[in-house]
Amino acid sequence: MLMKDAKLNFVLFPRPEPFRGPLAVLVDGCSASTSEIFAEGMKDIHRARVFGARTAAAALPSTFEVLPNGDGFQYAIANYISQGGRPLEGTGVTPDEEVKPTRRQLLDGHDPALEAALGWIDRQKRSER
Amino acid sequence: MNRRFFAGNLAVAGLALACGAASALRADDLPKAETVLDKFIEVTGGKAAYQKVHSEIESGTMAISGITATHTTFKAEPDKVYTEIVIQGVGKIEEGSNGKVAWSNSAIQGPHVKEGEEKEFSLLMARFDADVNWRSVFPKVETVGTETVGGKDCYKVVLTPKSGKPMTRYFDKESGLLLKVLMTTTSAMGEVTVESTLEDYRKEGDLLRPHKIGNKAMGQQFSITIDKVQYNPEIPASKFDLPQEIQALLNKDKK
Repeated sequence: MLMKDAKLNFVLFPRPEPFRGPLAVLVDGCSASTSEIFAEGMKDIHRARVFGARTAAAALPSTFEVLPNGDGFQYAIANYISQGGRPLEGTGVTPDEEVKPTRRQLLDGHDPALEAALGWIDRQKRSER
Repeated sequence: MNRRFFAGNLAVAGLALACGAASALRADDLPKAETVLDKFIEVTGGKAAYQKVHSEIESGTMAISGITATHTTFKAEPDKVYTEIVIQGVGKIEEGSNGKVAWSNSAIQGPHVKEGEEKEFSLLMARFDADVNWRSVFPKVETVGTETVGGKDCYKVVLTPKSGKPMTRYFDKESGLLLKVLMTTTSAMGEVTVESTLEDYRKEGDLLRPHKIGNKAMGQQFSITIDKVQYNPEIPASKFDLPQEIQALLNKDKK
């Protein structure tokens, strides 16, 4: 996170016994902010494969303040640069596998991004055996 | 135009002018840091009152960006501490030290064993007698000037620990109370400068303690309210044991 007068690393500490299986992340245009940071971060460290459509590209870290009239005021306090050196604001996360559902698929109860992800996980598991 | 920002800038400019004037004071005109630090112990209850306390539990609430949390801190001589922060909808953030290992375990960031400067700082903060026996914690202390904090003239004292970065404390000239602390901490996230203001001093037992602490760090503000303080409560020794996840990390490092 690049702030006006400081640079802060966004750090996560792995659990002692983390899940090591194949991992897919599903995103679309409604994936914003922290979900974009998560998806791009997992992609950067080659831990997950991202499926779906490009994300909202709204990933500036922000804070809330309560105004005197009781309203909330949210404003950006930093820019976020991913582990791979890319800002997400304005560009979003581009999935490894772009899968956009059609109207027909949705009406028929299908989620092609989820199906693509499940198919990939299945193939990964088979190749591990 | 953001009126608050504008007003804030004016306040900062005013403060800078005040500091400029204050810095004209010669070092000889300032009281020795030792005197200021000892006065703080005296006005908050005295050395004897501090030395009667061997453990404590402090609890209250925290507020940040519209989110509230509860916090409880258990402390025991000589250097044991365990803090639990519970944020509704997020989970638990724990932090502690058993005098040898300093750690944190957060629902947001995961378990972490502190090392290097981060560890040194946490161990320093865990010292139960760090206030009353400041001489053994900070080999170098110096009054470097005066500054206004919340409209009150303060002595600005820089305390340098045996290892780690110095911190600056601001003591009210009149009451002798500590009103502000400025320090830079190092963690895996990088260097963070934290400014804390201490308010609402009230008696808890024989000791005068702040009940409201405002913090500013990385452009964010959060406040801590202390609702309850218990002195010398029964704290089971297991309270300071390392959590399973932290122990697992240590075992993993040994392998």
